[in-house]
Amino acid sequence: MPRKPIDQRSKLRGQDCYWAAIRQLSAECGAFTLSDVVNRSNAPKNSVEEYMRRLKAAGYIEKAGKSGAANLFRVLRDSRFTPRVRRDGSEVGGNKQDHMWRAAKMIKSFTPQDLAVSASTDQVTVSEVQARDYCQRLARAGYFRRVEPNKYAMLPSKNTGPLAPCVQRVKQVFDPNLNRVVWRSGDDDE
Amino acid sequence: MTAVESQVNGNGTIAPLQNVALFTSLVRRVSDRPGHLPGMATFHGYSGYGKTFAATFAANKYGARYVEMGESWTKKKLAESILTELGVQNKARTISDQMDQIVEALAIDGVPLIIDEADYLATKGLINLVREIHDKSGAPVVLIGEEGLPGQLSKWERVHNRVLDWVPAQPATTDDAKHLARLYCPGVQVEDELLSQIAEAASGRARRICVSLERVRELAATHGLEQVGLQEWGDRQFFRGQPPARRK
Repeated sequence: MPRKPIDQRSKLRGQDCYWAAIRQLSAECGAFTLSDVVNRSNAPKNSVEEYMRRLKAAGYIEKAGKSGAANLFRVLRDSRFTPRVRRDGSEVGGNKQDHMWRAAKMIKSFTPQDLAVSASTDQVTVSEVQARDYCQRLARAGYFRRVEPNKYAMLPSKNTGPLAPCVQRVKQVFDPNLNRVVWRSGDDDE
Repeated sequence: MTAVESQVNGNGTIAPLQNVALFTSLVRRVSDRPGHLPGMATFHGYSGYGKTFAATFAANKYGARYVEMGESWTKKKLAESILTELGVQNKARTISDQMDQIVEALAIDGVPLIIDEADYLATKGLINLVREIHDKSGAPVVLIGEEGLPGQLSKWERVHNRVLDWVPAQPATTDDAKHLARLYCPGVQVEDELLSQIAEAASGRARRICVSLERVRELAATHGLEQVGLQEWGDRQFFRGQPPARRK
């Protein structure tokens, strides 16, 4: 079954939920077991276990003794945002949309090419085509304004936060800062 | 690499540009500094040198938080804008509580905070707020501002003592223009003489070079040229950024 778009997923499943539970448990009792985290979600044990294994590999949590037969863990490195970690413990870096969002907030008015050039780093390459697509979608969502046929400007009031509004494959734009869908295909049709 | 390929995935990065290299190494230094050293820094220079544009590379690489000051900003507006940029939900009501939230979030994140148009920090006396954020969170703070920024900041001794480095932005050179041509005119060979004239007309302003290069690209596209030199350019104007003369 394909993964559901982010706004339709259950709030009791997924890494955001597990990480929130871990932080909460850590604040309340310091240490926690796998079952503690599972109990605060509606997810199968193995998916929580897999996420915690990754967190441990990346040094976000560490083992802190035993509670009966179960392993106790505690938070070693805190993060306000859910850590995205690969199986081997390496971090999943910012994606293209994160980079374009940050660059757009900085340079404020830009052609798609300006955005592609300023959003690219040695690890993440944004092409002009991708930048144009992002500009068009965010203009639809009312975040960018089209000032010239090939030039866009960031609307200051739409600086909602650090997380990039994401263009989803289901043709809608989701703003994770506001936690809602800000544009759906078919909303307008200019 | 073919022209098509270079358009699709060969955008390259701005890393080789002079100011990008300067700013990136500045962010690296304040981020990796030993614990006993202060972690504030300035990147200053005349308007149009492409300071903010140059900062995008390091900002993305280091996951920095970025706030641009405004002329009308008060302490409260500054604190709230930083909280928004940090993604803190449920902002506190008073400035002092908001400061606690900022300090906590930055201390956890450990990423640099970049404040642009930082001249307003000095003129409005908000600079001590920023110093407090830096002192309590330990997060590196990089201020971007006009040429006079270090002079303005030196009036506050406590701020001045916390600056690890003052780095002046440099005017764009012909080498920068060459690299910008690779980024902005992929698939078009722009001759060196044309590039040096474009750079000269721009008087060090990277943004003006980009506008001229955009025209080169249009010229190449409309005439199907793979190479553009002084001959193809003819007597077209370079972008100098001057307003049009008064009509008679």
